[in-house]
Amino acid sequence: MFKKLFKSKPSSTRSGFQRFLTQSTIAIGLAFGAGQAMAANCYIMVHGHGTQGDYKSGSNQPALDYWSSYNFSQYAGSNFITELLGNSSDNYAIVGYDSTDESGYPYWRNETAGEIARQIISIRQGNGDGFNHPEANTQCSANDTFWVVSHSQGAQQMMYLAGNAISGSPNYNTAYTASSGVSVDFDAAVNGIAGIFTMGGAITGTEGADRVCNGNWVDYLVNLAFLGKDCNPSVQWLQTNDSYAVRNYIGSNLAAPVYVMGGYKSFPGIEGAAAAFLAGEDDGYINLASQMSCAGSGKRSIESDLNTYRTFLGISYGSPTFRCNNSNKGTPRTYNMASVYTDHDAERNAGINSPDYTSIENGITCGNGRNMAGRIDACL
Amino acid sequence: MSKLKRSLVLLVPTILVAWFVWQGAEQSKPETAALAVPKSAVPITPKVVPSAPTSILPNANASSQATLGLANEGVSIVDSPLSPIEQIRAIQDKTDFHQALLKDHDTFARYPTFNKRFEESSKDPVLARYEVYERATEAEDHKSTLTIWSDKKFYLPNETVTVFARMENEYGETIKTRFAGQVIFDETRNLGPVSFVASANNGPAQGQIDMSTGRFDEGIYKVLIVNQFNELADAVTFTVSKPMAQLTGNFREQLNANGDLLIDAHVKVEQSNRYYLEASLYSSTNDAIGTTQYAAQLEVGEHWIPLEFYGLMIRDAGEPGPYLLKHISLAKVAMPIQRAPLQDLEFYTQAYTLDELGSEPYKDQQDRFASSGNQ
Repeated sequence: MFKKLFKSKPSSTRSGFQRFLTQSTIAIGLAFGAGQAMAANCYIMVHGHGTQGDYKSGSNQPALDYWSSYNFSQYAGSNFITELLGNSSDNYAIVGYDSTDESGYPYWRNETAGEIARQIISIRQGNGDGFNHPEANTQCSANDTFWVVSHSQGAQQMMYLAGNAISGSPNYNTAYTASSGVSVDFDAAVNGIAGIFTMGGAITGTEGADRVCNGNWVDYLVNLAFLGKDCNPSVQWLQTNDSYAVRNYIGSNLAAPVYVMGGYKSFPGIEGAAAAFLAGEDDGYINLASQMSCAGSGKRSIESDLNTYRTFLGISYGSPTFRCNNSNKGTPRTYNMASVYTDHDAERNAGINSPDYTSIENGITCGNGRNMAGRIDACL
Repeated sequence: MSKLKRSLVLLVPTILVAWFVWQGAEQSKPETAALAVPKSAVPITPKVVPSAPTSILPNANASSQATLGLANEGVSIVDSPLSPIEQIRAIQDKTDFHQALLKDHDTFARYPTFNKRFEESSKDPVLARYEVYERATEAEDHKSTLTIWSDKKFYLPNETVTVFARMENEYGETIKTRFAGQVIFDETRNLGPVSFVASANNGPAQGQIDMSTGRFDEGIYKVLIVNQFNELADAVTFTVSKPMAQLTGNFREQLNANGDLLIDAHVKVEQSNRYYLEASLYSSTNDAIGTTQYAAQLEVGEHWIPLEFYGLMIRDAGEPGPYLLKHISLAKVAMPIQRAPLQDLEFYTQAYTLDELGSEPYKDQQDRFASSGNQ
């Protein structure tokens, strides 16, 4: 490669030693200068529902702990961030916002969307995230390549930000308080983000929220774990009815591409029964169609290959009647990444080490065989 | 001076310059090294790094091309940071994710961000805003399915809402049963029951809400539907809109100097607010071209709203004019969004030729403007 780089004089007028010196000069220059060209990755982590993410005190850091917390004991000791960073020199930043039921803030509020945007801006400026990372030297720098990794409601949040970070969008740079819109620089937060990963995203809501609000939820334990006890506004706006869907509150384009990963494994144990009430495949809590931002109803039933089939007594047959490929998304600039045999809890704590997966149309294959954290690590 | 001495004279300062450049780069970074090194076990507190925003997509710093002719090799040695996209392009062994990301970027950067190409009328994003979806809830034993829907998603306050409900068995045959509904406003206020009338044939049962007979504030309404056959229940929602603005049906058009199509839509505004318009353009043979969007604070009165379609986006559809502004959505921006009924005003432009339209990718155009100091 180096030989092509230097416009050398005709060989008859240059000695071999001169060519060697010249090429060595270039090689040494490349060695010293090359570090500037390839920045580290910075993963900006946006958690889901039910977390007092805006609180941190000493070792009590709910937004950071979200990525290693578990609702099922078999996932104890797992850590999404450990899996994500792997053996790389990449960095990460935690975004913490109030997604609790007690506060009840929907995704378009200043306390959610606004707060996330402000923190992303600060992180991208190289100010750190204000959290104590157990892994040394993992705070992001301003020169990193920035990615967002979001789970559950976090995906809904990022869709609102990305879809209103382009001038001409309906809620461009706007979040809301209880009384009015407020200006928040979504543009600065999202433009320049290389990509947004969503895992178990409640992009078109969750039937769990439907049942809480319609008074028909069965599994109290699962409900408490991920959603909550009542139809407060944060849960109201997680329903699968289109009136609440984030795609109706964004513009026709996103400021950053979104890569969706969906899980289709029920929860372990007795809580797995709750999934029987969800349409199609799901990760125990969110319909796969919602996770993959499929066009159409938020209750659409799709299989793990992201297709809908005719069914008889619950058994699918025939050719697909709908394909949730990249051409059939409900949100713009949204792309399939993977369909993984994992549940909503393991998605965020990497509790299943080497899950099965289903090949999907337009899927991205790097990282096949790894969990969602590992897939991001492998692909980048 | 001997040839060897001359070579050393060249070599030593070059090494020194490269060393100083590398040192400067190291001092501007936080604790992470320029090259991957093992992380130590000692936790650290974050350093405040001088603000140095990374150059952003899609208007990446395109001036960062090598002085040593490395661009052709896909690697750049620069004195300013490469953009994320440039760094990914420089990767020799790209994963399929990298390739997908680059493809998306090239597509995104081809047109202005307010334009979006679509190629099938069934995928018209403006129509999708109004499309009604059936909601199906299957029983646990898979032997019955409750399906419900409403005739629209957005209503004006004096309109009539029609809600449909159907119960089917595993063979897709209608199960005759009675339905009942409850209307709820904003998840908090119970407005009363909805009676469903069975269909004379095997069609769905229908329930109606005549909003002209009562006061229906703007907002989200829910109709919770139960049935007599089993315990399946579900709800449809709809939005009552008071958009406070309307399109008059008047338009004017031109091609600008860059070969972009500008269509101004005339609107009358009754309430000062932020408004959002989205419109889809087709060829005269009804082939889909793309959408545009526009949002702004509008005061009470009349306004001409610019709907801009980038020349290259129209050219990519491959058909000359006239072009058809087929669907327009107007909404008052609020929570929830107040969409006016979909307007199919069908405005045809002049018969522009493809040669009159712009042909330059948007990013290239913006780079050209930036370098010439012209916008």
